[in-house]
Amino acid sequence: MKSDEIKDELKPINNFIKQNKQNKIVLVGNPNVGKSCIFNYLSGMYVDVSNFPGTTVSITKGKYKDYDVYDTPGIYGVGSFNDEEKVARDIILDGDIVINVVNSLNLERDLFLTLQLIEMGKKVGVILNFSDEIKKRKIKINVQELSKILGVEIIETTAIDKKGFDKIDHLIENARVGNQPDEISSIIKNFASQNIPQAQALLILEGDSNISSKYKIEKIPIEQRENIYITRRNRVNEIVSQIEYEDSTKGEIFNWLGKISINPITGIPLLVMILTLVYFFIGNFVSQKVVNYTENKIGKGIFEYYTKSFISRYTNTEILTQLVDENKNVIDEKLFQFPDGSNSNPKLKEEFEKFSSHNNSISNFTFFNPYVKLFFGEFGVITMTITYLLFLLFPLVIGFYLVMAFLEDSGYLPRLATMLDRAFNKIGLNGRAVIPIMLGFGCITMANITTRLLGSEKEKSIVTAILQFVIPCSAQLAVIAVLLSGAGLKPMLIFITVIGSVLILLSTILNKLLPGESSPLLIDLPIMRFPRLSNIFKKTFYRSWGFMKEAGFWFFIGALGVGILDLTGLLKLWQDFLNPLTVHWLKLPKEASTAFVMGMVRRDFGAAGLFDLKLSTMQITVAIITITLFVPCIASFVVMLKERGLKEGLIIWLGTWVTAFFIGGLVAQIII
Amino acid sequence: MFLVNAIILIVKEIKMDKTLDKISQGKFLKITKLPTGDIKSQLIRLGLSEGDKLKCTHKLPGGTIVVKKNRQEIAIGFDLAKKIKIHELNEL
Repeated sequence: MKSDEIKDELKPINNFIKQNKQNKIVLVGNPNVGKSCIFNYLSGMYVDVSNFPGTTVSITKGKYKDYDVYDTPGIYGVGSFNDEEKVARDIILDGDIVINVVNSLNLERDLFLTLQLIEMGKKVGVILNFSDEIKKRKIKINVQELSKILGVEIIETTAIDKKGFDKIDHLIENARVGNQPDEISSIIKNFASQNIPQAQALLILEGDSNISSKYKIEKIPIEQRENIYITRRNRVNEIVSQIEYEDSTKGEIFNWLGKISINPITGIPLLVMILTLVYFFIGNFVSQKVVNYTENKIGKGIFEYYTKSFISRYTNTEILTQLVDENKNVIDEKLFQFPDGSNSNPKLKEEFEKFSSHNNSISNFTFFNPYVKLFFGEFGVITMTITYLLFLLFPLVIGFYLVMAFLEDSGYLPRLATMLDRAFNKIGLNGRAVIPIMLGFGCITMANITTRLLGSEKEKSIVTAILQFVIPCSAQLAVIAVLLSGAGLKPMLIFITVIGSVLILLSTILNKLLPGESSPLLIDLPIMRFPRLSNIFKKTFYRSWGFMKEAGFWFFIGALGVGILDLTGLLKLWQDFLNPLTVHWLKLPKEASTAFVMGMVRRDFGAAGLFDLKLSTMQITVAIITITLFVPCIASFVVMLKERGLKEGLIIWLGTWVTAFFIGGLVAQIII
Repeated sequence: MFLVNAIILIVKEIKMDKTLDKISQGKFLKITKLPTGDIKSQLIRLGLSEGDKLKCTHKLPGGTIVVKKNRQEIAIGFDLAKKIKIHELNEL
């Protein structure tokens, strides 16, 4: 009786320890298995996106009851073939419970990972997702038998309508170490005596050099891994043949959209159609209408106006306020001068506030104190950066990630990569390079980060260079489109030919010059389906937020750099230095050099600076060619340095200077 | 006569042995040898191992190959396809 009482007293403490010790759930699965649906269900709204220490792959962490839930990148096996795998591996090694999400339609592929997780000795629970599709296709899976063979708990779900999600709790509670195959467990025993946990031991046996060097064990020859892999693969095939029955082959749905998108004859028109839709959404709706509103009305009209007028109370300021009509014609303007700050002249301040409160007023603040200028001036670190980041870049990034998430979840991107693979091979890349390049038309900064998904350093270098040299971002495209629209067909053809030639030339040269191999295309083609919208929105939100967190800080640093250049007069020096080049070589008016300097900060600034100049059609052609080839904006420059290192980043950056002026000038000498 | 038949059979068999890039669209095949190195491990993980029987569902201009194993489709670049040895089959 007494001992029972003690036991009861100990129970809560035991529970507490148990909860504290076993509280990391890791969601693991192949790409496109609906892992994020389950993660969203478990974590609710409160998630945290962060970069995994030492790498650049972002991970999401949420809370479910007393557990921390980690989402991992989609992987086909635990190992160290790429950054994503390394990240997933470390989270799995660190986790207490592994919930393995499996695509029921692809057991042969997915169970490879499941077996590996079980062999790692982790507590595992398996979710067979897409169970509705199994029924639709008249496939039967003997779940009880599978559970018996694997020795772990298995539940069936349909992530689309959350069917079976109520059993996830039960799965987590009952996650356990599964059946170990004899071949593996006998070898692994040798490691136990050296105090190496089973999971690490397995990875060492599979030749993971990161882990083996951590435990100071010599790297194991690759044949060992191949043996383990082949044994595991055979076991998977055997298990699947035991537990899966296909009633008829009629159940197979004709995946016509998948076929259309892969064959160039139908795939290229489809691509053109999709790009047109994307153009209308991003190029027209987001970058014109939405950004116009957020940047001008909220950013400049509210945020900058109030910040600057607050500052103007205390420092020497000149304010030019203009009233404009719908066609941007100036109806009225007034100049307010506050040599000692507006607080010392309340009457004039009141007049300014009244005048600038008109609906269509634009106020231009000129500060004279260099430090105030640095932080709040035209390129002010605080004013410009926040407007740019939050009210211009953020809506654009959201728009692009939305499109990307849609294309990604629909299963279209791997097919696009397949269709274009051979063309990309010619320039030392494989089809996967299409993703960062497509993103580049949205935002180069964002695309620079996406180069991570490429297989080798060589490919990353080539794509990064292409992005900085030839791909115009959406902000710039919009301005180019306006400039070109009035100029007729000929300039557009010259523009496309020149930029296209530079692209081919540049990538061919880089492919020849850069050492190393390019990786061949090897991708799984998921079934094409209409994506789940709530998932897309969540994905877009996490990614946009992650992007802002990553690029934001560096953008501040960049803006500070340009601000200091401006302050010290170095910016002006650049402008003077560029003058002869602009006038004699490019045959443009000397004011155009300002546009080039501005282009270093923001690419569309550069292009927009050309609006006010009276240019001939051919001058416009030269100007937009030069601006397109010219340096990327400050944010992508800094992100590129971070991604590709100082040396490579600077070479690319300087290369864009040389190319832009050389090619631009060459065209000018010919056509003007 | 028997000898001639035997030779024809052998020649036919040899003709059936090729690399994956040589397969035509819609044909069936068995993987006889995968290339060595990391790529082999990646192929095995994805579900392609020696002895597997597949169908070539697409052969794109330029030589990118799409194969199908049960319900799973995998795209393989031309340079990798050249390194995968196969045996052409008449049916699965």
